[in-house]
Amino acid sequence: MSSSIELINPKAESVRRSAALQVNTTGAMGLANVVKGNLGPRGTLKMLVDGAGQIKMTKDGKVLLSEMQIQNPTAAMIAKTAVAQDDQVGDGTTSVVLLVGELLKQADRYISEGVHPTVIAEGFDLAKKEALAFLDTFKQSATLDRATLINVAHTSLATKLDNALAKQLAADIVDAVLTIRPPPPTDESQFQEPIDLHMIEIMKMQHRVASDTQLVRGLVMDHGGRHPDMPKRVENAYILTLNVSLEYEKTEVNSGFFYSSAEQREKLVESERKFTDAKCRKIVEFKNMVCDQAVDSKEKKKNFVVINQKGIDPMSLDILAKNGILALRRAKRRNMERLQLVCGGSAQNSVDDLTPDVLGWAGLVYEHTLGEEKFTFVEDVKEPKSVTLLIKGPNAYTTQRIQDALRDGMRAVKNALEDNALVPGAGAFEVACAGHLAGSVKKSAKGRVKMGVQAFADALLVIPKTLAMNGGFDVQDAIVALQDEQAEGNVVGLDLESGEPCDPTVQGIWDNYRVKRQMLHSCSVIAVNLLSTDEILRAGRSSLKPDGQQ
Amino acid sequence: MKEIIYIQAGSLANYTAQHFWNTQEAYFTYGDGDNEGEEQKEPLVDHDISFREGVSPKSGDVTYCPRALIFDWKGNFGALRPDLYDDAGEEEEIRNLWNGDVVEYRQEQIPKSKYQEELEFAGEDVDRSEDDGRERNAEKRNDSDIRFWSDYSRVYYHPRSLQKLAEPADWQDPEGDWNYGQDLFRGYDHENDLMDDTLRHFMEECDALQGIQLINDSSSFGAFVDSMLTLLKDDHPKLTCLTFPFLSSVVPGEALDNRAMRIAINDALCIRDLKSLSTLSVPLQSSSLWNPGAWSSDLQFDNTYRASAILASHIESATLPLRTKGSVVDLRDLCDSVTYPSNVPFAHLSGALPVPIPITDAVFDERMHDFSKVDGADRPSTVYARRDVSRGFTGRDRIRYDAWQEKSGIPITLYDITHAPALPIPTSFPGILRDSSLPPSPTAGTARCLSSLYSSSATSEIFSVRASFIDDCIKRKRDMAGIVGIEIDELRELANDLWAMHDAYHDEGDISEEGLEEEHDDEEE
Repeated sequence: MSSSIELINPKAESVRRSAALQVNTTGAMGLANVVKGNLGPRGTLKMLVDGAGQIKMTKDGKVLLSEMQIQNPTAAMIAKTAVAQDDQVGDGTTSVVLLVGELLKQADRYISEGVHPTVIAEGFDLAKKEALAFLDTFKQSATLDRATLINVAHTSLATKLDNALAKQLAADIVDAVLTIRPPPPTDESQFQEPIDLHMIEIMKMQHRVASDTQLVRGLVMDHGGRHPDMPKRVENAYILTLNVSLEYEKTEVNSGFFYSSAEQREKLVESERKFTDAKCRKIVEFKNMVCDQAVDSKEKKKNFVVINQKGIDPMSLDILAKNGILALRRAKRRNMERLQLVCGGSAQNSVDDLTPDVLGWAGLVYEHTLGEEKFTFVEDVKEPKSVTLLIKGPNAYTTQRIQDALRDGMRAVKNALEDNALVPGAGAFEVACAGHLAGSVKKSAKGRVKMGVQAFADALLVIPKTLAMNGGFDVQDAIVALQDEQAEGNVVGLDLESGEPCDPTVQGIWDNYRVKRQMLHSCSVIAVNLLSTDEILRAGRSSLKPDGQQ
Repeated sequence: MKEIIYIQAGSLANYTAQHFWNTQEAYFTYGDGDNEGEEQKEPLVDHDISFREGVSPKSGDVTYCPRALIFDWKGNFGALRPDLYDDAGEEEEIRNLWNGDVVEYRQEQIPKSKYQEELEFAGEDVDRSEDDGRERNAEKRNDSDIRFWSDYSRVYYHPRSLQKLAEPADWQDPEGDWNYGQDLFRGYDHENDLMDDTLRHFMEECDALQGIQLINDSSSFGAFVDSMLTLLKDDHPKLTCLTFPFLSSVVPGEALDNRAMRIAINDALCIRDLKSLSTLSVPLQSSSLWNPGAWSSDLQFDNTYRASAILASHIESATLPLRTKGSVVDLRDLCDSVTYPSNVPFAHLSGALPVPIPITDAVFDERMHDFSKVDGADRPSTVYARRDVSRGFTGRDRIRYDAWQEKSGIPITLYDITHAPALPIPTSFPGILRDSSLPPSPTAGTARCLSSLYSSSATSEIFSVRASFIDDCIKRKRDMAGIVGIEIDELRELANDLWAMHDAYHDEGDISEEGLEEEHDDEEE
């Protein structure tokens, strides 16, 4: 029987029911096989070299999925959802892909014995609901002190970077997030404001080695003064943050086509120029007012720095430089906000009526030049509410990889603080949840739905299994040992040093509550969708590849 | 006013831009260290306008790179990688910061093009004179060898310039998919801080930015560029922007199947939005729609490499006054002067390449091909404003040109010509002439041409053909939202906007025609 779509468009292909499920299952398992090696701190690092010889290094499931050209439509759909998971909660991409592949694999066992896919799907839905409920009882409201948070950050970083660097950066990340965290509400009716990670600037410097990566309690900007006479280093500086164009702007009538003589044109330019000069002069007057000190004053010399979001042209720079002002043009939009948090004051949209209270202050502002790149450090500030993580590394693919890892680590700390809870890691949740589902939940489920619940429980074990496999341990031995411990009511995860069961809460291995929640949700939604596919249609260019190949 | 930032997106746009940059490179006059007494030839253009100066962090050498942002699918970059400072490759020891295993995934290496190999060879072999090199190249190379636009590049790009976008999967078809393009931009900007990082960096380097010159393929990157310009306009409302959208090869009236319809509507959306996003837009018709005629009798433009060379020559010439040393015309002047009478900021690009010796009136009347005109629209039109640039005209040619111009009746205030030296033809230029013994051939070195930006009453047809096509689509009442991903009400609005743009020309046309007639009457009296 030909599909109705083929009657309309003879070029269209269609694959129905059982064959459709087969296409989905192989696609999902194929994708899971690709990312399998990534999982955990003992997974393999992937080095991707493209046709032009450009290198990308990653252990991040999200980065890997975005870099790969996934041609299988099922795999692409899973990848898209898994990447969306990362965008929402910052982690868990690899786990989602693994779980979807395993859910379909487990489902396939029952379906090949004649169970209808919708029955399995029903079981998945029930299992998901129960798993989420179980997660709420399994999570721990640990006291989120600095040491615990460092463990959280380390758990995330250790899956992306080597031990030494992960240890070093975990503390930096926690200190960064704690610095920008809004203060708790004073009275209980108010909500805690969310943590805005954008207030941590991540700056990359292609220089030296990765272990020089550090936390800067201040702001690092990727540009410097554009005038040779501007100071390169100032102390005790007032910071004026501006969003005011200090560029010559010509008026509409001054068009090159309408001027016969250069003289005539220059005259007009000169009169137009006065407008811009006046703005610069106002800044200079203001500077002189606030920096005025008696000649024999014992006070430390006061300096003045302008950081402008708009442009500053050479003539304006010249005026400012002559008056000892360091001025930066075209600052990032976000740095306007960050500067206020770093050194106080407020960004100004006009140079009229400037008053000292709009000024920020920094103990030290200095420029650092690396080849053609300039960096300006605003440091030695009072109680910064915004900080910079300064990444160093010898080449672009190293700094990029550290940046990816830092982002994930920051998200993990933010999640922990906002969830006010943690989940024991190292596969502990999956082992416990599988036991719970296969036990009481399955018992109370009705009829054939039990099979779906059992399939879900078995599928969850793919996480500890993969951790064991990537650690180079015997998978069956490891799982049996874990399940035995779990049956005795212990919280138990896999120790990747020994391959033996361990207590992750003692070892400080913590996962995020919301990552696990989102993971359970995403993987079951995709799996149920794929199970209920009746027909796959395609009217596009290439044909359906049931082998799940890329 | 000084620097221009160039933005280019899409395959055809990048082919064209590569020719453009090769021409810019040809304007460099390299000082010869051996003869210190000899005075260096003054270059025609001010290089700081289009190139940025940088310093290699390792060697401290000075680098000059195009001030350009280049967007394309990853695979279209060919063997080009961001390696200006020798740090993208594997030469260095790889410190992988990982305790565990490393798995390598390698795509098949794309070999360097013959042309790039020759350039490297010529660089090493300095004793050979350039002319010898030229002859050798001409023998061995074949235009069909070109696989990617980077294959014939004569410039080095800064790593920040190269923006490689992940390719859509085989089964996805992003051509003309407006929503896909908008999402693509949002995602890319979010992931890479494109606007706040890369573009801002280029702007920070500029002392007095003239504006942006943008060329893009509309069917693949129209919506992408549209989103980018919208953000750019929000941050910099006064920024001047000259755009050259390369329209799709779909003729609106002939777009019958869903895909063609989607692509045609995508073109229409691009054009409508450019009215507010761009200071001047010069839409260009796909080379597959170029009507052969007297203008093309000597030319061959059967592949992208060749067709883009013709377009690039005219774009380069028409915008040359923006880059010449000591020029008083800037991007804003150029845009305003062509838009001036109609207030709808669109213009045509037309031109003749090569210009024969000796010049005849036929060059101006028959050999000027309009690359923007809607096919079949041959009704007589009134020219509103025109900016011409001639390359390599002799004194006698200029007199002929002036005589012809006087006859044409374009008001002198709305018309301007710049006479410039001949167009340099670097060795990367394809053989666009059927008879390769005629100039420009790779051995000739330069070519004569005439390029023109103008607006006329015919410009309005760019909008009317699309407006009536969309009206038709709506009438057919098909599932438009399903086909193009755009609601029917939005399409109605689009058609209305396009009609309004058409009418703006029409009214102006009537007025200025009347105005001109009156002038003539006066003269007769």
